[in-house]
This record gives sequence, structure tokens and C-alpha cells, in this order.
Amino acid sequence: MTTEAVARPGAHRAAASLGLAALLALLAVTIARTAWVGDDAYITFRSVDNFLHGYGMRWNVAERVQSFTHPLWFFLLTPVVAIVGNPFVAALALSAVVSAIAIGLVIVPVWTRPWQAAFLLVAMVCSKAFTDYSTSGLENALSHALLAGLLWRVRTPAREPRPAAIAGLLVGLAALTRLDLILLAGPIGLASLRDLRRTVPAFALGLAPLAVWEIFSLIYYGVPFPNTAYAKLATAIPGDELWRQGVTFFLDSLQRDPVTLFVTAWAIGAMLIYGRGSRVPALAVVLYLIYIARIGGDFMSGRFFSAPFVVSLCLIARLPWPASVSGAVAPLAVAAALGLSAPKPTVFSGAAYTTHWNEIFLPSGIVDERGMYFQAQGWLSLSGPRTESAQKGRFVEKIRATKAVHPVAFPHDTVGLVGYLTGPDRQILDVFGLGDPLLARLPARTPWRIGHYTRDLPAGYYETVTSGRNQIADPKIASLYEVIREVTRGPIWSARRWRAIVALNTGQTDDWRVPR
Amino acid sequence: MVHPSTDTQRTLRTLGLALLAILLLRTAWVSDEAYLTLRSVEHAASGFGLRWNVSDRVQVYDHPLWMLVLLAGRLVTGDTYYTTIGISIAASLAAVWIVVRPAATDLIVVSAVAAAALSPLFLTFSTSGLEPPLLHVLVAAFVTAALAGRSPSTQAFLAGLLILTHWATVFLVAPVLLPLLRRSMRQAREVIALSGLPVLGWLLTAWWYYGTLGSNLQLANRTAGAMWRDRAAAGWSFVRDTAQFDPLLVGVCFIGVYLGFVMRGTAARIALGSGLAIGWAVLSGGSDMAGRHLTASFVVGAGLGVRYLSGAGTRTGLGALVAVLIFALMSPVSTLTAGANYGQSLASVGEMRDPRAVDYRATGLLRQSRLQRAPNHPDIDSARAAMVPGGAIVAGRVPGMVGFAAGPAVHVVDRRGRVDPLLARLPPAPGPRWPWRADRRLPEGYGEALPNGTPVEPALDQLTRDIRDLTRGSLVSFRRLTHLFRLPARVRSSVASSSYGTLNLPLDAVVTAPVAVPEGGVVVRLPAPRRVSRMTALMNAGYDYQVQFLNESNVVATVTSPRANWHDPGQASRELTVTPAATATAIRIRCGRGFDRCVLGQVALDD
Repeated sequence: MTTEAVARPGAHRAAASLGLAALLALLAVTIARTAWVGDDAYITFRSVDNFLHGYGMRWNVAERVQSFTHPLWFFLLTPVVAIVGNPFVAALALSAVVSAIAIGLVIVPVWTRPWQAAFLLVAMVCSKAFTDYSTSGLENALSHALLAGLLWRVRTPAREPRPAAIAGLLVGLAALTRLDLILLAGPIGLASLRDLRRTVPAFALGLAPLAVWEIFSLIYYGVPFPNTAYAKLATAIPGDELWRQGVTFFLDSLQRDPVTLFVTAWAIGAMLIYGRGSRVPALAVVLYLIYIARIGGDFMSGRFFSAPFVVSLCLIARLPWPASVSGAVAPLAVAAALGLSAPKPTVFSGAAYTTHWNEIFLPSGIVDERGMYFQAQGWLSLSGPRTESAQKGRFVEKIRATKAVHPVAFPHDTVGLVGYLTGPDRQILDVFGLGDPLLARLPARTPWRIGHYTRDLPAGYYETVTSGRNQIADPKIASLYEVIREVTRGPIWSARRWRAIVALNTGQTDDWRVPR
Repeated sequence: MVHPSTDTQRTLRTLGLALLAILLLRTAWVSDEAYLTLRSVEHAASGFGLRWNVSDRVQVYDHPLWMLVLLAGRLVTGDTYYTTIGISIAASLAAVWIVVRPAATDLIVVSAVAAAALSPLFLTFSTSGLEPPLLHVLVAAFVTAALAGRSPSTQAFLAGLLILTHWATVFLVAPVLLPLLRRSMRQAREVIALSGLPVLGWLLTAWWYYGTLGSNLQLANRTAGAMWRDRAAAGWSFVRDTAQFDPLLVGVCFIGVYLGFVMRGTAARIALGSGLAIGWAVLSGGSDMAGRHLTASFVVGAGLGVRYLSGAGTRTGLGALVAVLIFALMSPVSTLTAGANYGQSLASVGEMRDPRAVDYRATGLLRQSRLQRAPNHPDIDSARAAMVPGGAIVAGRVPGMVGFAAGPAVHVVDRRGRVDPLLARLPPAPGPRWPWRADRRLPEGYGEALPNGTPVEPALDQLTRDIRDLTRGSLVSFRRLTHLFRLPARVRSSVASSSYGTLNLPLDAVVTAPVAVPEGGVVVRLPAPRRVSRMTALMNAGYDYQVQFLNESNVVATVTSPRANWHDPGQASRELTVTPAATATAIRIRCGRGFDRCVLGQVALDD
């Protein structure tokens, strides 16, 4: 610190505040310029649309199936869509608000330490995963806010029931946003508890919303997990192939977005080596990263890294920051240098963002999902030649033609926007199984692509759906379908349906009687 | 003196490790040369023994300790590629951690990490599958132990591990170890035992098992036929090109030597060792990989720099950081922007190529996926048809990768003789070559006869059978044990007296354009017996020539033509007088062993 600065601490503070405000503005502008809505968000939009029109929380109105992975995001999105009308605008608006809360929760604890706050802001600006998934229409923004809130809460250990209950509530809400986040949030919340006899019951009480949803899910959908979990995790793909794909997911992120994993690695390393009180959150991040690798990652580049990235930012906010200018600036310079040396720096992303196809789509099957959809569904591109409405128009013609051929149901892949535009009067047989309860439980076809596990339609399945009579040729699959039909279409409280629920969840579906 | 760590320096150190981890992952690769070792490791892990081809006991690696570390990793994980990269990155991070730990101020931590992160060649050899990562961590530990005045046994033990990792580090450790020998007899015995016995143990084991004291790579290098001045010239080019490609690496090496002498005492001895190691790298011809043998000296330089700066002021530290940044900006490549497409436009400096750029597209970590596994080189695809059990492949550009992909059932040899015990003992084929890159002419019938046949050239018949005894015979047979002593000494005379490597030409072929002279020389056949009293020919000014006049197979006269000026790389006409005049049917011309420039042309004879 210079002599002048010591003599004029007020001026120093003002300059720091101005600098931080400028970085905050840069972050806001970057997120706005990269705002988009992905095709997968439209899977949720179709359920929201059906729900708002009185068909229930269903994707195909004929059956009770949870095709969205994020119940809490669904419940937040639904009223906004009801008010705004357009789910695209509603998702962007909600994402903006929730992301602002997340950023605030990360930054406010270090606002009085300008260099540290500046690092966090620069890291967020330069992280492609964070900026891409601060919007996207998916649940990531809400995950960010809840995890940042949890990290804020657990800065001091919970010795009383009330803070323990809040920690439990945040863990529960995070799990309600995306169930696998419990691996990340759970250990963090639990590690904050002290005086366990008093705090554990309160923590458990905080998990009540999650428990309520699980009970509802079991009663209404007949299964505890979303259909997407069955479609993506029960694929019968060998574990070593998934591990290799998971490693590829990490390598893809290193290539396209070095800042995200750099920040994550720094937080883990610093906390595990010197962290003392913060080792459990760091271990939770490690656990979550192992889980990501185990399931093969995702097809959207960097998507699953944004949540551990936010936790890592919160952990870095706890680090003692160097006082010397060189030490204080170094992390900032590193983050900026890595961010600017990325193949597509976030700060330069504009309306023309969509790179060449071979840069978007790699042979690994992992895509720059924003690159894929930005021209059609990016906020900056709305006035461009391929506007959302133009895109819709293009699909509407195709869907109209398809509907003319298929009066009841039709099979399709990439069912996001197509599913939303199809409306409630047709059942879609999603060959990736995300919205189809039978296909979700069948083994995936090989060769496979991550996140897009194609299923072959069983012989007689289409005829079964269109006629309402079970004509599936394979007796085992026919029996499985009979159970699923009872669970998803039978009267909710009938004894037969509850026997079917038990059979479906215990895997005893082979002996179910199939009416012929 | 080790300064106590402050919390904020810990923050910076972990930041540095995270940055380096990301950069190392983004630049991680495995070189073709490393695949020579990895195929042996794979065979050992599969129960075939530490061999390149499972039928021959041949040592194709120069780094025994690194090989053992890789083998241990492979046995634990079951994977070779990712294990190699994982161990390399862990070792390199540990090296940087050890170097940075004594830093007294934030500025020194930042400068040291910046030097490591911004040096392209340090990052390149922090993976690569070769031994530098292990050298880095051992050198860092050795320098730290020596500067901290740790017990002689600790220093000697680390020195032993270093030499076992790569024998040339003996130059690096000797100036530090030698003074320890003078203190007392007991300590001298301890130092010798700890530093020398592991090396001696390995040498004896390798000698008994493989039949040679050094590796097959060294044997092939020795028989490549380059003279020391040729090697020195190549070494000079190596340093020059490395400096052009990565000025930061060379700068830190030389500044480290300078700072060590300024600091005096142990630091000066370490600096001397570093200087000797650099000198060896130059005089041995360097490598075709820019920076290959200099990264250990880079670690020494960084370690000495951290110590020196810890006792200097802030301005000096700031100057060091600025110098690092300027040196880094001078490099034609950036470590920060290196990604999956690295090497697409091949970076080449002089004769030296950026080693990572050459192989990255085949083995780069960022290029791996579930469906695409390293090594993924086009030459492997083209060799795929020959990869049948019991078959043999003569690999071209990337023998390591082709051999690794071929698996144990396929016999693989390379033209440079690095993996074949016979070719390694043969002189190089005529044509351009460097000290570390000399192709062999495959003896007639050899490729077709592999893996069990013998070449049809009678001159190599005995040698082939002796080598087979050595590499395939029972380890305890008396015949083999005698070869352990006899074969290495016989190699050169056996080959030199054979017709292998001799260019046999009619006189017409050498009266105009010059031809390259192979090790066996050129035999010029005269159209008819002829009396010769004087001969003129175009020869290299910098080489000795020996001219023998033959009548049938008898040498009737020998004339030696000494070099005119060994600095002169050019060619000049020389006149040789034959006294007394002799009747000859052929003339054998041999050249002082050199590379690239040993020629013969414009031969004219007078009665």
C-alpha cells in the first residue's frame, strides 16, 4: 500500500468499489450477451405448458411421467411462464434474477477485500461453464444460488437448531433442484453441524421439502426418481466405457474452458493442503467430480462443472489473500490470462456466436450446446435471420406434416422444441427415453453417444400406443409395459396400481399378466 | 535458509500448482521415444519380461528408475497411457512445489511459478512419457538438500536415484558429492555406497540379463559413427535452436549457473554441476528434440534463483519477474493457448523440431476420447495389415507407437537400430544423418527372415548367431556368459572387416558427382588391372581419408591423406601420390568417420 493510499483510505476504498462495480457490470453484460435457451429446456417447457393447461405435470398428457430433472426449477418457472406467457422470455428472466442472487451470495462476503472480490468476478466472467449455464433455461442458475447460499450459511458451524434447519433446507432444495447435487451439498451441510443431538433433527426437518416431493413423486409418478435418471443411468453401458467418456468430459472442458477447472483445482488443492475447516467442502467437490466421471459426464460441454465451480469460488473466498500487490494481482492475472487464451473467450462472445460445426460438435459426442443453439435461441440473436420465431416456424411445418401421418403418436429424437410445439394432442415416443417410461428402461443401442442413448422401438410398441392394446412382441417387454401402463395411467389409488408400483421399483415385472 | 511460510504464500503456492496442473493437462503428451519404454513396460506387466520384442532380451530405455516407476504404476492401474501422464504431472508438480517452498516473498513465488508456467519446453518435458519429470523432482530435492546442508547420506541417496534415472546426471551431482568424499573414510564409504551401489546393481543386472552394460539405444548411438566434433556441432545447433524456441528455458539455465557462482559455496558446486550437465548435452550432440536434456538444469536454475532472490530486495525480485515475462514473450509459442489442435501447423526451428508438435496429434491428452485412444498415428493404420501374430514390421518414423500398438505377438524393428540388437551393431547406411538419427541399411533378407531367420549376407552370419545367443540363449549357459565379455569388443572389428556398409562402385560412378562414403568405405572397381602412381579426388577438407590399392583381395599400397583444415566443412580436390606405383584392380577409400559431409567424387588416376 502506498503512503498516499494510507493517507487517503477513503479514496482507496472508493477506487476499489468503482473497480469492483465495473467488473460486476462486465459480468452482467457478459451473461446478458451469452444468454440463451437450450433445446433441453423445452422438455421442461412442454411439461409446464401441459401443467398450466390442466393436464398435470406430464410430458405426454396420457401418462404420468416426470421428464424434467429439476422439480424446484419447474415450480419456479411455472408461475413466471403463467405471467409472461412466453417460456423463452420467462426462462431468461428467471435465470437472470436467480443468477444475480447467486453472484451476490458469492461476492458479498469478500466485498471488503477488493482484490479477492475482483478475482472471483474475473473468474466468473471468464468461466464458459458459469456464463453459459447462468441462463440456458436449465436449472444450473438455481443450483448456483442454492449452493452459494449453503456455503454462506455454513461459514460458521451450526450449533443451534435454527441454523441447522436452514442448512438442511438448502441441502434439500439443492437436491430438489437436481437430485445428484445431494452429493455436493449433503456433505457440506452435514459437516457444518455441531452438537449433533440438537442439530441433526433440525437438519433433517429442513430436508422436509425434499421428502414431501419424493412422497408425491412416488404416489403420482409411481417412482422416486425422474424418468431422465432411468433413461440416462440405466443404459446397460459397461462401466469402463462410461469412465472413459467421463474423462473425455473433463478433457473437453480443459480444452474449451480452462478457467472453470483451474478454479476448481485451486480450491480443492488449497483447501485439502491448508484448509483445515474447509476440507469437507473440498472433498465434497472431489466426490461430485468423481460422480460426474463415473456417469460419463454430459453431452453439454462444461454443464456439470458449473455447480462445483460455484462451490470452489465460495471456498476461494475463504482463503487468506496476499497483501502485496504482486501476490494480490497474480490470481487475477492468471484467471484473466487463462480466460482470454480459451478458444472462444466469453467476453468476446457476441451475436455472431456460433462457431464452425466441427468446433461445436466433437467426435467425443460432447458439444458446445450454446454454440449449437445460440443463433436460433440466443438473446442477442433474436433479431437475426434465424430467430426463435423463425425456428419455430420451420419446425411447425414439419410437425404439422408429421401429425397428419400420425394421428395418435409418433416417434422422435431431440424432442425439446419439437415436443413443445407438438402440443398435448399427440404422444411422442422419445427414442432417447427421456419422456418415455418404457424406452427409458430398455438397454441403449450401440454405438452410443453420451446423453443420447437411443433405444430401438420394440416390435409392436407403436401399434400398442396407437391402439391402446398391448401388442408388443417380446413377452418380457410386454409385461414391463403392462406394469408401466398401470403405474402411469391407472387410477392413482387403486390396489392394482400400487402392486404395479412395487413391481416396477423392485424389478419384478416379468410375471405381470398381459391381457391379450 | 528456509523461510517460514505465511498463509498468503500458501495461497499463492496452491494457485501456482493449480495453474501448472491445468497447463500440464492441456499440454500433456507422450513421445514416440517414450513408447519404446512403454512397450517394454507393457510386456513386463503382461509377463513377457522387460523386453521390446518378447523374443529378444534387449534394453530399449535409458532410464531404469523411470521405467520401474512406470511399471509399478502400470501394475497398479492396469493402464499405461493415463498412468504415465498422471505420474509425470504429479512428479512435475512436486518439483515445482519443492523449488518454490523456500521463497521468502510473494514476488519470488510468482516469478518462479511464472517461469515454470511460461516455458514451453519445460511443460513439454514435464510430461512426454520420458524421464524428465522424475529428474525434475529428484533434482529439486537434491538441490534443496544440498543447499540446506542435509546429511551426506541423504544427498548421496538422491544422487544415486538421479544417476539411476539417467546416467548423465552424474555430471550434475559429481561436484556436490566429491567434496563429501574428502571428509572422512566412513563418510566416503557411505556416500559411495548410497550413490553408487544402486547404479552398480542395475548395471550388473542389465549386463547379465541384456548382455550389454548400456542400453541398445546407446549402442546404436555409438555405432552411428559421429565424431566428437560432429556431435559438438550438432549440440551447438541444439542449444541455439532451443534458445530460439524457448529463450526462457535457456535463460534460466544460464542465469542459474551465474547466480550459483555468485552465491559461492554449495550453490557454486551445484552451478558447476549444472554447467557440466549443459556441457555434456552440447558435446554429446544434444537431441533432435529441442530442450530435451536441459530441463533438469532449468530446475537447478529456478532453485538457485529462488534462493538468491530470497536474499535480495523487492526491486531485484520485480526485475526477475519482468525478465521472466520478457523471455516468455520472445518465444514463438505460448503455453497458455496450446490446445487440442497443437501441432497442426508444425513448429520447426532450424533442424530441430518442437517435439510436442510432432507427436501431439497422435498422443496429446486433449485429443483423447472414449473412441480415440493413444497412440493414434497414421503410420499405425498403415502398418495394421502386417500386425498379425508371429509377423514382423520394420517401422519407419514412429517405431515406438507402432510397436506399442502392434502388441507382443508382433516382432518390430526400426531402421535406426534402437530396438534391434543386430542393427544397433551395424554402421549407418550411406546418406545424410545426424549423431542421433542414423538409419541402418537392412541386411539383405533380414526383414523377411524376422523374427527367427538369419540375414542372407554371409558377413553377418556369425554376428547374428552370437547376438541370438546373447539375447535369446539361456541366461546361465556358459556359451552366453562368454559372449557377455567377448561380443561388445568384437562388434566393431567384426563389422568393419565385413562387407556390410561398403559401397561397391565402378570407376565411372565416381568420376563426376560426389557420393557419400559409408563407414565400410567405397570400393571403386577398375575396368581392368592398372598401374597407378597418382590419384586426384574430391574430398572433404575437414576429414582424414585412407586409400588402399587392391590387387584382387591383396592390399598392394596404402596412402593416407590427412585433413587440410578441420574447421572447413567444404570439399576440395586432393592429390595423392602412390610410391612406389602399384598395379591395382580396385581402390578402397575410407573416410574419417563423420556424418553428412564425408564424400568422394571426381576420381582421376594417372599411371
